[in-house]
Amino acid sequence: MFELVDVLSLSNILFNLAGVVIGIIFGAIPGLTATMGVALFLPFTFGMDPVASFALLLGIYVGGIYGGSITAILIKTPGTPSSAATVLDGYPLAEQGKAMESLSMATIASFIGGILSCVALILLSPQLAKIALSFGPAEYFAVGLFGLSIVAALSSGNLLKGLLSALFGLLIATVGMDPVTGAMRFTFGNINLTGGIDFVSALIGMFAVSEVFSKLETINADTGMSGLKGVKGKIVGAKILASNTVNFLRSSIIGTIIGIIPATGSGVASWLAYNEAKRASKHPEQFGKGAFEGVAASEAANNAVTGGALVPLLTLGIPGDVVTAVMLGALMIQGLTPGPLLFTENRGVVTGIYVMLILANIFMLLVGLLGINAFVKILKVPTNILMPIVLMLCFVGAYAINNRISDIGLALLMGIVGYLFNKVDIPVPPMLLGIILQPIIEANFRRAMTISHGDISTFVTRPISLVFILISVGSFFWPIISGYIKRRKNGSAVA
Amino acid sequence: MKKVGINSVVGFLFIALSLLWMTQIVKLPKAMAFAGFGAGFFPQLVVILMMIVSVLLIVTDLRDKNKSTTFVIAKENILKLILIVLLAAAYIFILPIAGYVISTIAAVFLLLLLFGLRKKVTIVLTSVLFPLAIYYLFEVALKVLLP
Repeated sequence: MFELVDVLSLSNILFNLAGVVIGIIFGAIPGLTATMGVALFLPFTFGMDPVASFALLLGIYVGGIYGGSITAILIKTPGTPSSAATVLDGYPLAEQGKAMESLSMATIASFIGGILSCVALILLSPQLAKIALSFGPAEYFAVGLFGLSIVAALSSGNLLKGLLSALFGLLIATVGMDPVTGAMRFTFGNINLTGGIDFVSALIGMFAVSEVFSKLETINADTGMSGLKGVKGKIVGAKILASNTVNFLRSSIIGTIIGIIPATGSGVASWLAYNEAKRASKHPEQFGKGAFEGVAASEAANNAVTGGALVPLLTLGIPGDVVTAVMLGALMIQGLTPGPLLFTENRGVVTGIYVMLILANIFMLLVGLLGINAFVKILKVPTNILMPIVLMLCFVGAYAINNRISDIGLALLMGIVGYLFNKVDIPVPPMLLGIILQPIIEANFRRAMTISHGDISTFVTRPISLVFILISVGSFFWPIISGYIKRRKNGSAVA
Repeated sequence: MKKVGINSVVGFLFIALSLLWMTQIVKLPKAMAFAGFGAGFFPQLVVILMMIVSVLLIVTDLRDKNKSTTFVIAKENILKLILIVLLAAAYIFILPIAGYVISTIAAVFLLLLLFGLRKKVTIVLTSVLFPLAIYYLFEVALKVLLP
């Protein structure tokens, strides 16, 4: 109880509320995402204490994932990729004059998903942390490999390009001093590179600067934002809500599990939940024409990712999605090492994170239900004013992390790389995971090999490590196997 | 008729990058290797994997009949993109000399023009107020130093 009073200070509550509002704005504007919001506001948290900083960032996270539904429903443009599935039924509902009902359904579903995933986070994390205490280098290596294989396999249709992206991340992360021998690697004689690639600056470049470049191209195209109008009407009825109880539960569980799996995010979760809801529905034919169930499934699932994604971040130091990858940066800036020790040495921070996540969901519900028309007004700020500001915020952020001008250059460079990757359809998230997981994978591999005196079988004789390595290998080959099965099925159908 | 698809180009670029990295790996000290795995082992593994994946990408691309062969950036956009990168590079160069507020005012001003904003009052107000707000927020309220 003592901790709770400490955590719930007025300033923390206000930071949390501000975070939710900022998050909803970032989520709702197409082109700005929750990831970008958290990355841009990360530098603002340097001077704050850990709980205050997480109050703000978790608020942005929760608000950002939810905010995408507003534009998805009102103008058929998902504000973030995670709300892409919401468009399918949310927009038809709005066309039928049920915009407010649809929006309130999205809000309530997001709230339920978010809260249930908090419960999962609170129940699962301490258990997982206990198991993680027994992890040695071999296990950490296997878990790192696992995270990387999943993201390469799932992030887009093209496995080879996903792999290239991940390998590229692994490669550039080796720049700087080798942690084991102290040898300088790939610095090309440049003194700024000896400290390695700062991953927060790299991330700001990959996800925010690149977006500014893309927007520069489409700036004259009509985004449809001018078509935004205020919404009136009543909120969704209790009857419809009650009929979705199972749907809420199922979608939240899907979202939470997808969140826990390293590196798979809310985009995957919402599509999966949407498809499952359609399959389980008594009226699957209404999906796509304005079914409340579709909106509920997509939104409950994408917000359920938030709590789930924090589980591996807090217990293993491996982010569950791209946004929590940014939060890994926030933890490290605060001098905290995510992992099992966080639960024994910094209990206060962990409690703070739990409480702030729950509070953020409550604020999201209130702000989403009461303030929707205010957001509609804010969303009309033209992109051509917004983008220069975003670019400058990127640069401030990149600089402020280490007070190094060269990091701004890094953000710019990674922005160009991210932009080009997008142009040739190479997914960017695997690269980010590569950068984050490289030290975990390499250092633990070499440590494990040193412990086992060079015996490589150490990775398969330890059960936990073996399981993760098997799943990693499996996920590499899964697209090939599933493609084969599909072809067999289609073949027999034709015959 | 076999055309070179965009994926092949990507593949070749990554192979080139791998080779560049290779030239650096051979320079790494080998003497301090622990249990046979020195500073060069991991990067070497990654580089080799990268080459294999690149070759696979090129092979699948050559066999793909529906591959895309064009890399689309509209001409007027290429100019804009080069301008924004140059502007950002200039900003990084000027920043330590002119200080945060002055360089940022200039940068926001030019960026707003580049993004096609034509309302003079908005341009001037945004480019002056935004840098000042950030400066105040960081230096005074958050005590994070700016250049």
